[in-house]
Amino acid sequence: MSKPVITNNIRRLRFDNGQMTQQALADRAGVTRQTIIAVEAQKYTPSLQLAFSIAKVFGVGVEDVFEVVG
Amino acid sequence: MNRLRKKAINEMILVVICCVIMLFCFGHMTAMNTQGIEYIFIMLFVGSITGVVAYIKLNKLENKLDERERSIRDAAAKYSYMVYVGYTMVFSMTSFFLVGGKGNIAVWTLPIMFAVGLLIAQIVQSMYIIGKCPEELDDE
Repeated sequence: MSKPVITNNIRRLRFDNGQMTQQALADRAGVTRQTIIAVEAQKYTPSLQLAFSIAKVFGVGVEDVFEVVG
Repeated sequence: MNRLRKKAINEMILVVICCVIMLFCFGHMTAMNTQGIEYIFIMLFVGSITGVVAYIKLNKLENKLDERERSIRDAAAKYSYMVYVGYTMVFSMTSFFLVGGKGNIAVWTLPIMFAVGLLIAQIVQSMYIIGKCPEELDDE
C-alpha cells in the first residue's frame, strides 16, 4: 500500500494574503522560516498543532491548507 | 547561519572542552596515583563540569527549537546513541575479550576510551544535524 502524500497550498495562500513572506508566516505560526520552507516544499510533514496554527494564520480551515493525495 | 547548525557546533565545542578537561583530570589522577580527599575533589570537579555541560545541552540549547528542529535532533541523537553503543562494543568489550585482563590493559586507557566515545558520539550527532539542516534559502 502506497503512503499517502500530503500536499499544501501555503505558497498560494501566502500570495493571496498580501504576499506574506515566509518569515512573517513563520513568526505568526511560532516556528522558524526553515520549517516553513520545508513544509512548503513538502519535505517535512507538520504536526497537527502546526497545521492548525498555519491554517489559523490564513483564517481558513486546515483542509484548505493541506490535502491528502493518494 | 542556520540556528540548529549553530547549536550543533556550539554543542560540539562544549563537549570537546569537557572531554579535554576530563582527560586532563583523569591523567593527573593516574599519574599522581591520587587517593583520599584529592581523589574526591577531582571527581567532584569533573562531575560538576559534566553536570554544567549536560544542563546547557538539555536546557539552554534545546528550549528554543521548533518541532522540525526537534525531529532532526531526535534522529541525530538516535544515530549518536547507536554509534556509541557500537563503539563501546567494538573498542571496549572486544579489546578486553581479545587482549584479556591480567594487567594487559593499562588503567589509564579506560577514561580515554570513555572520553573518546563521548567525543565520537557528539561528533556524529553534530555532523548529522549539520548535514540535515538546509542552507538558508532566499525568501520566495
